[in-house]
Amino acid sequence: MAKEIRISLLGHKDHGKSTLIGRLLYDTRSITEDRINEARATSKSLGKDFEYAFLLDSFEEEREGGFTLDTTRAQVHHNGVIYELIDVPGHKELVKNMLTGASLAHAAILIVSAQPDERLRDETKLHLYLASLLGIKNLVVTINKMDTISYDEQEFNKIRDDITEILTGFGYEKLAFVPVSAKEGDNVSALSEATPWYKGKTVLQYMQEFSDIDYEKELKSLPARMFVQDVYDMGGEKILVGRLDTGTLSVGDMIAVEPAGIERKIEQMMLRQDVVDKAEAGQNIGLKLEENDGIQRGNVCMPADNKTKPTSSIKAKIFCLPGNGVKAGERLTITCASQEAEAEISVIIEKMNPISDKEPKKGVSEIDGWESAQVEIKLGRPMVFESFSEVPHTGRFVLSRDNIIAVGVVE
Amino acid sequence: MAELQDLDKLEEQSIYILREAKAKFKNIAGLWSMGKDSTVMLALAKKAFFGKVPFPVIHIDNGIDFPETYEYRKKLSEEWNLDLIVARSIIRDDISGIKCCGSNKTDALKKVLDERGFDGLIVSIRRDEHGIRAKERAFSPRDKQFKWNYDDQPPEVWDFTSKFEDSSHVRIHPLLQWNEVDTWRYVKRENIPINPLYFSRNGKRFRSLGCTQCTVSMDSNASTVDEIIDELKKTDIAERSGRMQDKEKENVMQRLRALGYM
Repeated sequence: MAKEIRISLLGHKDHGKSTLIGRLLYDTRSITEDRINEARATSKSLGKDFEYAFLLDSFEEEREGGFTLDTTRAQVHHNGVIYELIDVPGHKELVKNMLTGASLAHAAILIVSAQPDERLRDETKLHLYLASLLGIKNLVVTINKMDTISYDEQEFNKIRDDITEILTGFGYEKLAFVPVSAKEGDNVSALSEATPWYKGKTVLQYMQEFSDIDYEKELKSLPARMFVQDVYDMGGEKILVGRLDTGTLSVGDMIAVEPAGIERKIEQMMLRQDVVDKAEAGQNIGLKLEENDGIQRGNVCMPADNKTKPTSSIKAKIFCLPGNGVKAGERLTITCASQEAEAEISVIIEKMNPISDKEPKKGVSEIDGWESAQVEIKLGRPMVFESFSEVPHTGRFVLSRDNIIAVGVVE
Repeated sequence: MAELQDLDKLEEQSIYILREAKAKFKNIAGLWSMGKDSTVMLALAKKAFFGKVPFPVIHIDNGIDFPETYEYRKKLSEEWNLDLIVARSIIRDDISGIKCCGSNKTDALKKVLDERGFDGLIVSIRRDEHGIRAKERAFSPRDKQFKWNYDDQPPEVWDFTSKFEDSSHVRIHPLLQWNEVDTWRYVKRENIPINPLYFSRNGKRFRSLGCTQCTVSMDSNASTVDEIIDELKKTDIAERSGRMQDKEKENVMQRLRALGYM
């Protein structure tokens, strides 16, 4: 079976995210001739040259306007690996759609246009900030549209140095930079003669390096955590179901169910209709405990000897979506998988706009859209939370009114 | 050569979404077109819920589906003990193509959702079928007018969704991640009974099923699941090439879907 990895594209609109994915789809023949012909016909009817981006951008507005409105995923198939490339919009107004795509990624490709009037933009910074908030560690930087600056090495180095400064600010160090032209195909899936001075790898080769990392093994090595999704009544017997997000569990293990405050032994484990002895991260299982009473959706199962205690407040970093400012003390809903409760921001320690502010602001009582903040959140009832850097699944959350207004990670 | 997705992983994702749908909504139903994808969805539901499909399944029936489809419906709904709702739609002579799909299928669906008060509807679309379907979320609300506000979709960060306060119902898409060939590999692995129209007779078979008016068969000698899988691994033609409503005009799928089509 093929290995699978999800890679998100990042960067400002018009810098070539969709075009690069389109080019990769085309070069690796990961798309049917029909879809290529359809994109060709649309390009022609709009009076444009063939646009690789049309292999992704399928809304009328996207094709006519030449931008990505909402996230799409497309699979590049190459040498035994399925690369699921996540295309996201570059407009900062569409950051909710960008987060929808990027929150799924194992790794990312940042695109910066080399064209003198484009280069480093606000959205480049915003996307880098969000990638670091989402915990995306693996990143490669592509300098696109090299054809518009005659593949000039000095210019490339200049852009690279400018970006390096920003990357360091967001905690990214020693990244690879690739000079590309997604439109012309330079250094995308094959090294280009146009850049004889470039001694690095192609974009596809860097993607391959990302796919060599064993992400599943990393999840399995974490302590076991399972959010209870539901409790099914099977002929009078209660079976709790959920996805084991991290770690492994075995029949006979003593588990703690929090915040119910219950400890029970796993008596039986179900995977589909089969009875199994053991389950690992990624599997949706059913558990029969010695006694399942008092357990409900929103509880979290953990090994009794490796659990975390429920808490009634957390310290976190949050980012507010555009148009969604929030005041301290306002009543919100906090969601972390099946855990949901009322919550309020009790303290705003500091806040800043990751694009425009150099220094954080202190002594404030509200956070605006596009701002990030370090906060304390008071929970309406005890919940299971851990540091995002230790167990990502119990360390991330969204805050909502009717809709999601902010994303956050626990410190 | 296309690489193959891991069926176990696809199964895990779909089961998670189905269980989430059951827990989050008060009253869910599934759409069953008698096609391969929605039948695979029902097989997945049987796994997710330990042997039974715990929600009603809706067939939007315009009365002009193929006879094989009706026989198959009867047989499988008995065998799998399905709670089948047949929502009749009326074919009008004065309209065809996009208008027909819009008025018949979509209107019949509206009616049955209203009558039965379903707040969640499981639809077995896949991302690889059509560029517009690739833009979908796993949980996708439709507004009070039944519209898909594709230009302002609520965020779905990690697996976490919004609350959908202003929606008429939410579409649930457990198969988005599947490819056409995955569906067939799963049919083979799980030995799922499939509508006979998919298999070649006299050098022709259907690759995608709609009603008799708008579905065209393709040249093929694939008469078993294995032969279909082989054929798909080699083909360069899109799956819905035999579905006329997709291609009448550019962007027709976008318009249909915005109005409530699947």
